[in-house]
Amino acid sequence: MKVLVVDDEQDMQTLFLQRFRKEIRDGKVDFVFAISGEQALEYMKENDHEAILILSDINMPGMSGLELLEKIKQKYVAPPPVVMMITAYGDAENYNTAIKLGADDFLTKPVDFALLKEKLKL
Amino acid sequence: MRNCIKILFFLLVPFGLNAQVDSLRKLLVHSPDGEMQHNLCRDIYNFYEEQNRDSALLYAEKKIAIARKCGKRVPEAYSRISKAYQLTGLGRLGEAYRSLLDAFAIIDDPKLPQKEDWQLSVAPFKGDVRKLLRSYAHHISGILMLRTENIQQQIFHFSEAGRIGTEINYAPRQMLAYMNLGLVYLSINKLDSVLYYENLSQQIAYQSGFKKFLGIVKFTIGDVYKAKGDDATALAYYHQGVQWGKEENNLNAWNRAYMRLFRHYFAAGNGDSALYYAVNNLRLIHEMGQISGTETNLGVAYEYLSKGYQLKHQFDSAFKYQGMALTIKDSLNRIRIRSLSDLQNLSFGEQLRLQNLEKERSMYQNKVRTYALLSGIVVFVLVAVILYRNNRQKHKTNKVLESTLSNLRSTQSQLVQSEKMASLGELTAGIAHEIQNPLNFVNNFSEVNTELLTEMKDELNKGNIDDAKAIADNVIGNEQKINYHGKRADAIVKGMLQHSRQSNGVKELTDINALTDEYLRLAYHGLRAKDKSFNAAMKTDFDKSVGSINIISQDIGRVVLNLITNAFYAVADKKKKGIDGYEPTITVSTKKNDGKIIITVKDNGMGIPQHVKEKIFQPFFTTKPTGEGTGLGLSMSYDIITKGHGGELTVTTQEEEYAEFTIVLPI
Repeated sequence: MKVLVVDDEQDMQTLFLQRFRKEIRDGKVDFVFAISGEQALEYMKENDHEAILILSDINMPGMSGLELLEKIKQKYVAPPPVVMMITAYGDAENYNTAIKLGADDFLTKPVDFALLKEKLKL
Repeated sequence: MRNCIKILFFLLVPFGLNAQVDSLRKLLVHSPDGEMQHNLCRDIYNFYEEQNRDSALLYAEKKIAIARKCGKRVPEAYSRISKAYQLTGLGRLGEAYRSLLDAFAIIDDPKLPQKEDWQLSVAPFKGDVRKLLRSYAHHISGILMLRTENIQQQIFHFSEAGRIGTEINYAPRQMLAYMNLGLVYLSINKLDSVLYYENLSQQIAYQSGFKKFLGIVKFTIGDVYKAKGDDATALAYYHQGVQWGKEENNLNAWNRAYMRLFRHYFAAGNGDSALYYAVNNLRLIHEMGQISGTETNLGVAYEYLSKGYQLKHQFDSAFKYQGMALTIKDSLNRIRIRSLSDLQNLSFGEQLRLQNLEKERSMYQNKVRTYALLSGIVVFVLVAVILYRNNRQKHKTNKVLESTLSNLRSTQSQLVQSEKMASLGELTAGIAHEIQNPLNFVNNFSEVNTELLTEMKDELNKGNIDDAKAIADNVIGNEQKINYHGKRADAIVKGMLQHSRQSNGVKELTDINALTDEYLRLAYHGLRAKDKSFNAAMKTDFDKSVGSINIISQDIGRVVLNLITNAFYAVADKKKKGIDGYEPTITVSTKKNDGKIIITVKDNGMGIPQHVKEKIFQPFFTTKPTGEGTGLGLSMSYDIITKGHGGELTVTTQEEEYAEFTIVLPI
């Protein structure tokens, strides 16, 4: 399973790699990282439908996670990748907007990796 | 019918004047109509006016009676003035004066109609009849005054007559007024004035065709030349006077011209001529009526006759006429004196009456004044009451307003407080969320480290030193991350505290230019300490008139520092892009404008895109790479300027060109 993680914080990559080091070692999951929405779109364009799961932050410089979500859901109609939003701002407004724009799930920071693993069925 | 009369009139003219008057008389007997009777009497009066005073007086009285019967006030007044004129000519000055007073009473009556369809005199008149009457009445008053030798009164009345006559543009009144003014000036020997007025009168007479009195004008001009010693010219004018008197049936003029001719020939010693004029003078005076003006009377006629006979050496005749002259003159003098005293009594009585009138008027005026005052007081009281009521109402309203205002004020302060709380709440929420990011790392890396350390222990137990070392490196790296994000959380909390703390700073007089300069240096050195390669041009434009104002200098200093740091960051960012010929420049300026202090910080960096500009003052909004900024700098600055100092913080920008932040502080 290929997962695209979009977050402007570089340390997020280290964290994911360490948190999923066993699953990666076992070949159950493969991570790709992008530090901005723009970069994420670029990657998706180059590797069509490779990633089936996208985990995106919302608050990022430049394109926000919500904008990215909107673009992905408009562009990749059949079958659209699963998009999960991960944000520090777990307020109702953000949540509702994300769901309205077609987010498949909504997680808040600090990320509960046990829960995430459960959701990814790993 | 009227036309018939006119035709008759014109037909009759050639047959002789007296025949014409006779036929008018006959018509009068048969005329049933008031206006027609009046018109017939008017024409007969006009015929006799300067020919026979007794007859003229009779018809003037008839006209008055007709006018009164018909309720015609204007013709009545007019005829009363005519009557006064004839009475004056007859030397009955008291009666003349009374008739004039009656006329003036009618003229002054406010109910007098302004228009009159009955024709009053020789020429028709369409203007303001009241003015016509007033002019005529003043004129006859002047003539009456000629008998009293009161020069001032004469000039006054004739001037008034002339002035009003000019106002209504009625030639006969103008002509006669100027003619008599000339006569008045002749009596006081002001020859230039005489010539001026007589020439004016003569001119009007020729222009208007009203020549009835032209004879008088002519001999008066003759008098001027006589007085100047020009006998030839004087004689010519005297003869013209005779000629016009004859032509216009003005026996008065004719006779007075004769008197002048007598005096001339008598003085020249020409007995025949003198006697001729003296005899004819007497004849004309007989024709006109027993008594005429002061100048022309029977006494004078007898005197001249006596003188004429003397010159002819017919002494018995001379003596006879001298005796007659004395007797007549004596009686005339007595009549005159009686008449004058009559006039005096009358005018005394009139004065009394006028005084009483004046008294009444002043009493009336006092009454009016009292009433006006009373009504004024009433109005004043009313106004006062209304004002008082208004005032009370205002007072009430004011009280309501005051309480509303104080309510509003407390509401406002509550609002401010709640906004502060809201802002703090917002901030707290923001902080709470923002802090989740570093916490995410702290929590997860510490958990990972626990796992890693457990794994490392396993490896060590297995004796895999290298693997254990590798894991230890990871743990160290993670620990550093934990530390870093812990500090980051600390910075966020500190920023929040700074943002939300109650400003206990005291406002003090601060030199704005010095403050700005100080923080500019601070920012520059701070940046150079981090990045030695950094350099930028700094331009300052300080307005010396800015001076010192009351501010919390630490807070304003923080804002200035923040803006300048941002500016340096912006130019450094643009420099990194390696644009050719780009010179990073920061301009800081101060200005005093319209009672406000303006501080601007401008950089020639990349500018701010519109969508960013909208959020720039929101807390936690930042364009800096994650971790480099808290996103609190500008929002805090905004609060300090607007809430802390009642000023404004605004930004203008052009993408890829510049960004300019402006602080406006009230003095």
